Amino acid sequence: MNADVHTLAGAYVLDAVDDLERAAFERHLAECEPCRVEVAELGETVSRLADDTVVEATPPGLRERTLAQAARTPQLRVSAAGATDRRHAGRWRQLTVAAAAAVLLAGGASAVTWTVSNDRISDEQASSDQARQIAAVLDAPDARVFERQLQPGGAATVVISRDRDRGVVLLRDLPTPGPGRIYELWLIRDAEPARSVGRLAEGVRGSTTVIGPVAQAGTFGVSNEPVGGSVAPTRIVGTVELS
Amino acid sequence: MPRMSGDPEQARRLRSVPPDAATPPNADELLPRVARGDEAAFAALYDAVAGRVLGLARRVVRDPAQAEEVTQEVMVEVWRTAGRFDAGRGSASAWVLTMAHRRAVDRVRSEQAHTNRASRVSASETHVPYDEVVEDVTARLEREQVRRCLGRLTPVQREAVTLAYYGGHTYREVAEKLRTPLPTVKTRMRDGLIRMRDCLGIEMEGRA
Ligand SMILES: [Zn+2]
Repeated sequence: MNADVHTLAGAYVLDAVDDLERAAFERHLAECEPCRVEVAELGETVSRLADDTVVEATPPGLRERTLAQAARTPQLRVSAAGATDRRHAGRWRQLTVAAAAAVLLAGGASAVTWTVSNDRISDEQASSDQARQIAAVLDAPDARVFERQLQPGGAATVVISRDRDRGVVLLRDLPTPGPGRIYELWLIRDAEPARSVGRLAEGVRGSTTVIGPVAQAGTFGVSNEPVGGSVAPTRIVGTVELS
Repeated sequence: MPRMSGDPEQARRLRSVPPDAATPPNADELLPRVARGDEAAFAALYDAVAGRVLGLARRVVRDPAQAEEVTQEVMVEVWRTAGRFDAGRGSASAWVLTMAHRRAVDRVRSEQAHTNRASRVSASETHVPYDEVVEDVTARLEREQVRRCLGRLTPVQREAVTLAYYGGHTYREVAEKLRTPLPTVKTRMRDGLIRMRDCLGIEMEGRA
């Protein structure tokens, strides 16, 4: 386990993480008792910061509306015995497939074990064909994860399964590509022209994309191109070695 | 005491909460009753925590109408999911406020997708105004304790914690604003909260 993971407890209780990091850290919490205790204590600490924002009286209309809405809202029934399980189920249900991919990162960059089962994924995105393809890659016993910060900002995470001949690319927080420009995804094999494996829509700065075939690819790259893409990358903003 | 229209039984139960009890029932006692569907307990819980929920939401989303929406959503969610509260993992008010903060931050961030971030950033830069004084003595003492403990953090720790909590910023944004490397910001947030925790004397039962 990456030692750095534990230090996220502060940012986590402050809600200063994004959804991917939150999912990854919650996965970590399930396995790390010291972090669970720390999160409980720091969560308690953080909530005291709200002492300083208290308003003396909430508007009467708000109280009335809230009580009325509660009165017509059925409660979630949680049996004492099932409480823990269901709480975890609820938490997992919030995971998107992309977030689930990030969960893998907590395991470091070596071979990973995919631990979120497909039915959990189907909770969120049952109808999505892409979700199934993503799950297939993440589920592969040989899946490996690579991550790089990109030169102009943002990060790329690539999960590759040579067996399945597919990969999943998560891009996030890239800078705006500029007017009339897009990001394009490439796979590169020594001494061969780069092969385009995906294009983001105009102005889009992050995505989750299934790429393939990947069996022969040595390097993944992202470039900034005019809308419509290019035959070969012109402005490369980052590459990830896939080995 | 405001009452709900319609159901007289409900109104009766709501009135059964003493409006001016010297010691208002605390959230930890109320939440398990709420989990059992006790509407009077929910009304009392509202009275006990909604001021902080609304205050926090206002601080983070900076829009009174939206802060009210957040408060209503959060409180109804508290009602709906009260059965999930696990006293072994923290206090009832922390549970509610965690939900409130998350909801407020989500709102700010989704809005951010289509509005200019700059104005909010500069607004939060003018710093956290600690000027709302409430009469309740206990609450005031508690707040003073929070301020005193915040004051014991290093400036970077304090900035990192308050920008994230009151400003709703991610640690990436905080790193940018403070021109500090990401790992450092993560560490400062955690170290700062640990220092606050110790200053406030917060400890989970069973901690080694
Ligand atoms: Zn840990």
